Amino acid sequence: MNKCLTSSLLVFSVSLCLCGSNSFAASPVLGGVAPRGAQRGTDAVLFLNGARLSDAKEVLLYSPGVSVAKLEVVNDTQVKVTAKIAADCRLGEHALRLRTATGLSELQTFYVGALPVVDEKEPNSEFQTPQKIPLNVTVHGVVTAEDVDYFAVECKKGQRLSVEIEAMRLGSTLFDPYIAILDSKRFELAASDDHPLAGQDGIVSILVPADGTYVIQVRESAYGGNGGCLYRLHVGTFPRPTAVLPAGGKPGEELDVTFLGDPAGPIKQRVKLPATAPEGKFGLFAQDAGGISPSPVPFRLSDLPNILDTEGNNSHLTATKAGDVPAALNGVIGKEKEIDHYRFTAKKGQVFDVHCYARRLGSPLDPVMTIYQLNGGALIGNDDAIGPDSYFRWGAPADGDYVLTVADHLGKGGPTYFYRVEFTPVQPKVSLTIPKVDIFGYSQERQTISVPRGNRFAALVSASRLDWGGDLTLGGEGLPAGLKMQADTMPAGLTAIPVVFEAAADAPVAGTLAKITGTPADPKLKVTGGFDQSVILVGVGNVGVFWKLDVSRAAVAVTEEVPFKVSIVEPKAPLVQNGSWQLKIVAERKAGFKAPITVYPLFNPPGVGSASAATIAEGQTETLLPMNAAPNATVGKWRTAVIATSDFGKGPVWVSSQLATIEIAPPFVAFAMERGAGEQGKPTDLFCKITQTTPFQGSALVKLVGLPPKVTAPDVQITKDTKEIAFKLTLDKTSPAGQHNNVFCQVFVPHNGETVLHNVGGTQLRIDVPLPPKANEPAKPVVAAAPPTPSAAPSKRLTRLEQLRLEQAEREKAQQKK
Amino acid sequence: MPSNVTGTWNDDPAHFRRPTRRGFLHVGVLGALGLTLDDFFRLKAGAAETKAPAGKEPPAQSVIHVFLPGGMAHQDSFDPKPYAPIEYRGEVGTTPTKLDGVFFSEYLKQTAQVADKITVCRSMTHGEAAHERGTHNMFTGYRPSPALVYPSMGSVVSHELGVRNNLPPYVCIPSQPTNFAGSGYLSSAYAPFSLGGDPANAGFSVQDLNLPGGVDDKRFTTRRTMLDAVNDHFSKQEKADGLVAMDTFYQRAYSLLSSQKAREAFNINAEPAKLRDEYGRNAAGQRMLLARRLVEAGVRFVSLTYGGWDMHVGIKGAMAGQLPAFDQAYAALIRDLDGRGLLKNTLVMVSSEFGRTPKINGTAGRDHWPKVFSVVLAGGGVKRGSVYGTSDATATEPENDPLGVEDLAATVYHLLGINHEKKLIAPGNRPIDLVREATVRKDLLA
Repeated sequence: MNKCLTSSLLVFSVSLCLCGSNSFAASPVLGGVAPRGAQRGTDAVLFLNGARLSDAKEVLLYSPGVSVAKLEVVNDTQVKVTAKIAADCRLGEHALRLRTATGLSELQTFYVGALPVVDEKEPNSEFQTPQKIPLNVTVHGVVTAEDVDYFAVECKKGQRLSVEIEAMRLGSTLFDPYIAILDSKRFELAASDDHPLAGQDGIVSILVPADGTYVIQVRESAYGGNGGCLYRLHVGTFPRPTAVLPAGGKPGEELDVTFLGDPAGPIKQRVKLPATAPEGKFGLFAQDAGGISPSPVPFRLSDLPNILDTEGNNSHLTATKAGDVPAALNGVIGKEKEIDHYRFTAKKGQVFDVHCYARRLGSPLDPVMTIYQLNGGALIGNDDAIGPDSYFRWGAPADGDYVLTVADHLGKGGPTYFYRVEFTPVQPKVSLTIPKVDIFGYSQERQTISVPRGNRFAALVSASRLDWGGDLTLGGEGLPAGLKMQADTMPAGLTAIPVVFEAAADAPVAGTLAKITGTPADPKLKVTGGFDQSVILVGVGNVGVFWKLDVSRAAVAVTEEVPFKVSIVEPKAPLVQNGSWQLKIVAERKAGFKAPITVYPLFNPPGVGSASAATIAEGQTETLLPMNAAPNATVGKWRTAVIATSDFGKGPVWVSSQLATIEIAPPFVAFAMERGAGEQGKPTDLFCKITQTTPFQGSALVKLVGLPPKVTAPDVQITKDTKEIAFKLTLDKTSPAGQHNNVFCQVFVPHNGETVLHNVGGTQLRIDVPLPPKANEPAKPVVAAAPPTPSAAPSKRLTRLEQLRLEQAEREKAQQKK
Repeated sequence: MPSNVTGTWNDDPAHFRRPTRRGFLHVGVLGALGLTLDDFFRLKAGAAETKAPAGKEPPAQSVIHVFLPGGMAHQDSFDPKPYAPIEYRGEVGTTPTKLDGVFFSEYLKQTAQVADKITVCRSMTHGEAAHERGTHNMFTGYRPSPALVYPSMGSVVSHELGVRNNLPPYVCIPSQPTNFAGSGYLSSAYAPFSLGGDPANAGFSVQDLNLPGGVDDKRFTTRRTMLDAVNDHFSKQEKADGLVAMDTFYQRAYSLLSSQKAREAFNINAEPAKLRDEYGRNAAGQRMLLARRLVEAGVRFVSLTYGGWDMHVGIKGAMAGQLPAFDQAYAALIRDLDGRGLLKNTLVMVSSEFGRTPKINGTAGRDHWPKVFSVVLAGGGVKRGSVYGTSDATATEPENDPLGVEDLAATVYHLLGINHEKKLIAPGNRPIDLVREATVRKDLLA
C-alpha cells in the first residue's frame, strides 16, 4: 500500500529570513517550476520563477509524496526549493502554489518520474550525431525553432523499448510534440504524434527486432518550437500498456486487472484501490520487471459490481449476462465492426444515468451506446453526449430484460479499444467553484483567497445544482486559523453569491488548501459533489484548452495587513424598480497611505445593473457607485459586497467590503403621462395621473426630463395625496418640430432621511409648426386669441383635443358673428 | 444583352493573359491585387478621358472616408444616452455641442464645436455582426455574397470618374485596410493606391514614387532611351492599338515619376508645422491631414483607417485612449476644409463596421451590435449642423429614419454625381446594380 496515497496533505513551512521593507509586497506571480520534474526517492532542487516572490513563506502542495526541506529566496523573481520526493511518491503531475507573506500564487505543476534524469545536450539535431543515452532515463530537453532532437540507445533483440513524452502535459506552453523510434538505417519502427491516453503528447513502445542502436526522434509536430517548448522524454524498458480491464473498481478493494496494449502482451496485476478517491483523476500504473509506466491508465472508482464482456457477445442471443443493474460493464471492442451486447434486468420505474467511459479513460474508442428491448427495437441511444463519449438517462418502461450495445462510431476496433459502462441511479449533485474572472483568457486571476489581517476579501462562489433544486448552504473546512467565512444561504433561484472572508487582526499569517462545501438547506436532501476548480494551464484563445488540471480545494491564506479597508454604507432607503441610486463606499486609510483605490461591484441582484467600477481618488475616503434596478428587478433584500484594489508599487492588493444589505422595492409612485402636443412659440400642458402605492412623508420633487431643446418645464412638488399634476411647458419659436420620444419623470421621494430616485411615466411630445394664416382668414376676435388654459380654469382641465375643439368652436362663433 | 461597359473586368484583356513583369511594376506599395503602374495608366488613358463631366457639377468633388475598424461604440461617441440606466449608458460622460440639445461623448469636445458643420446619422443599421461582414457592408454598400466580390465605393468612384490631375483616383491611407476596400469584380485597375506607410511616422514618404536609389536622372534617361529603341523596333513590326496604349501608359508613368507636382501631393512634410500640430502628431491627425492634402490635389476618394475599436473589455479606458486623438484630428479636418472652402465640395464620411451592444458586458466592455449605430457625414452637399434619424432610449434599435448601407452608398454616389441606378458588368457579362434597391436620402442633402 502506498503510504503517500493514504497520508493526508502535509504542508511544510520553512521560516525565512526576510527583509522588512517588503511588508506590502503582494500578488505573487508564479510563472513556472524549473526543472519540470525530478526522480522520486531523491532530493530535488526546484526553482520557482515569477515575480514579487521575495517574501515567500511556504509551498502549498496538492498531493502527498513531496515535502519541502528548504526554501530560499534567491531574489524577487526566484525562489529555490529543495524538495524531498518520497520513494513511493505517485508518478506524474503534482500541483503547487507558493504562499508569500502577502499573497498566494497561481497553481503550477511539476512532474515526478521513476527514472534518473539526464539533460539534453546539443548538438543532437542530426540523425547521424544523436545524443547517446542509456536505457531507462528521463531526458529533460527543449525543442527550439525547427529543432529535431535525436537520442541513441543500445538495445538487445526482443527487449522492450518504450518512449513516452510529457510536453503539452507539462502545462508550460502550447507545444505539440512528435516522437518516433528509428532503426540504425533510419527506418521508422514506431511513431506517435498524439495519443488518446496522453492528449497531444506521444507514446510508443516496441519489441526490438535485433541487437543494435536505435534512435529516438523528438520534434514539434509541425517543425515549430521555441525556448519554452520543454519536454520530459522517458526512454526505457518500462511497460507501456494503454488500456486496462476492468476499467474500474470499488474503493478499498483489492482486485486483479489486466493491462492491454503492451508490445510484450497483456500484463496481469493485482491492485489495492484507495478507500477514498484522491484529488484529481485516479489511474493505475502498470509495473513489471522492465519498470513502471511513467503515466497511469485512468481508472474509475465506484461502488458498482464489475461485469466483464464475454467472447462472442455479438447478438441479443449471445449477449453477456449482466444481471441486475446498477452495475458496471467493462469490455473491449476487439476488432473492427464488433458490437458488444449485454443483457441486463431492470424494473419498471427504475431510472439510470448510463455513462460510457472510453475517451475519458484514454481509450481510442469513440463509443456509440444503445439500449434495446430484448429481441426488439432500440429504446434509446447516444453517440457524443460528453466529448466523444456516450451518455443518456434511461427509465425502464417495464420489468424485464433489456440489451445494451456498445460499438465504435466508425466501426473501428482493436485490442486497446476498452470501455466501461456505468449504470447508476440518479444522484443529486452540486458543483461549486470560484468563477473565472478572466473571461477572455485563461489566467488564474483572483481565484484564490488572500485575506489581509484585520481585513476582508470576497469572492463570488457559484454553484450548479444537478437533479435537485432549493436553497444551498455554503461552508468552509480547513480554513486558516482566525479566518471566518461569511456566506448567506444561496436561494434556489440563484447560481452565485458573494462570500466574504474576514481575518481577525491577530490571525496568524498562514495558508491552507481548504474545502468549500455546499449542502442543501433541506436536511432530507443528500447530494454528492463539492468544490471543483479547473486550472487551465495551456489554452489558446477561441481554439480551446489543451491542458488543464482539476483541483477540489481552494487556496486560502491570511496575509500581512494592508493600509486600507473599504466598507459599503448601507442605504436606509430601498432601490426601487426602474429607479437608481449611488451606493456609497468609504475607505479607511492608514496614515500616510494616499494611493487611489478602485472599487468593483462583486454581485448585482437579478435585474440590477451598476457601473463596472468606481474610484476613491488619491487621498480621498469615499466614492459613489451608480446602480439602477430594471422594472422587473427581483424585489427583496439582497446581500452584496464590493471588492477594492490598490497598488503600493509592489503589485495590486485586493480587499473587500462587508456583506451589506440592499433592498429592492416596488416603486412608491406610478405615473401615467398623457401625450403632449403644442405649437412652436405657444405654451402647452403635459398631464400626469399619479398612483401612489407606498405613502411617503413630506413632498417629493418631480422633474420632467428628456425634453427636446428649447422646451422647458418647471419642476413640480407632490405629496402622498397628489393624484394629478400638470407641467407647464414653454415652447420656443425655434423648438424643433416633430415627435419627441422618451419624455419621462424623475421623482425624488424622501424616505428615512434619504432620497429614493424613481424613473416613472414615459410619453411623447409632439411639436407642430403653426399653420400659416389663410389669405382670406378674418382677423381673430380678441376673445379667441387667448383660449382658456387649465390654469385659468383649474376646475376642469382640457385635453389637447378638447382645446383644439374649443378653439375651433370659438373661431366658428366669431365667424358667425361677422 | 447590355453592351459591355468600357473598363469592366470582362473588358480588360489583362484578365485573359498571363501577368507580365511590367504589369507588376507598382505605383506605391500594393497588395497582390493592387493597382499597378500598368493599371494606373490604363485607367488614365481610358476612363478618365471618356468621363468628361456633363451638365451641372455634382456637389461633391471628392470623398474622405474615415473608417474606424473594429466597430466603434455609438453610445460612447456620437449617440450618448445620458438618461438610460447605468449599464446601458456606460461610464463615458457627455459634452454639449453647438447644436441645441445634441450631446456627444465627453471625448468629442472639439468635434462638438464643429457640430454645426456636420450631420450625424444616428440611425445607421445593418444585420452583420461579424467584423469582416460588417466591413464589407460599409465599404461596398452590399451584403457579402459568396457568389461575387463587390467593388468598394472608392473603386466604383475610380471606375466611374477616373483620374484627375495625374493622381490616382482612389487612395488608401496607410494601406488597403481589407479586401473589401478593393475593386471586387471590377478590374484591378480600380483598386486603391496604397501609401504603404503611416504619415504619422517621421521620415514618411510614399515608396516607389521616386527613382530607386543609385539611379539618377541621367541613368534613368539612358535606360528609357534603350527601351525606346526596343519599342521602336517592335512597333515597326506590329501595329496594334494595345501597343499604342501600352506606350501611352509608360509615357505617363515616366511623367508621374518626373512630375514634382503630382509627387508633391503625397509630401506631408510640406504642410506647416502648426497645422500638423493642430491635427495632432499621431496616426489620426497625420492620416487625416494627408487625406486633405490629397483631395486638395485632385484625388477623388481617400479611405483612411484609424485605431482599433473592438472594445470588448474596459470600454471607458479604451475610448479615453483612442477617441481624443480622433476628436482633435476630425475637428481640425472639418475646420481646415471649411477654412479653405473645400468642405462644400468634399464629402467627409466617418463610419465603422457596426456599433456596440446597448448593455455593458461582464468585462466592462461592449460587444458587436449592427442593429443601430452612427455614421457622420460632412460637406460635399450634406446638410450642415443636423442630426439625421434617432435610436431608441437605450440605443438598441433605430427609432426614426433607419438608414441602411444601400441608401448610404446611394447618397454618397448621388453627391458625387454618379447615377446609383446604373448597372456595372461583372464577370460572365452579368449586369449588377451599383447599389441594389436604394434610395437617395434627400433629408441628408443640403
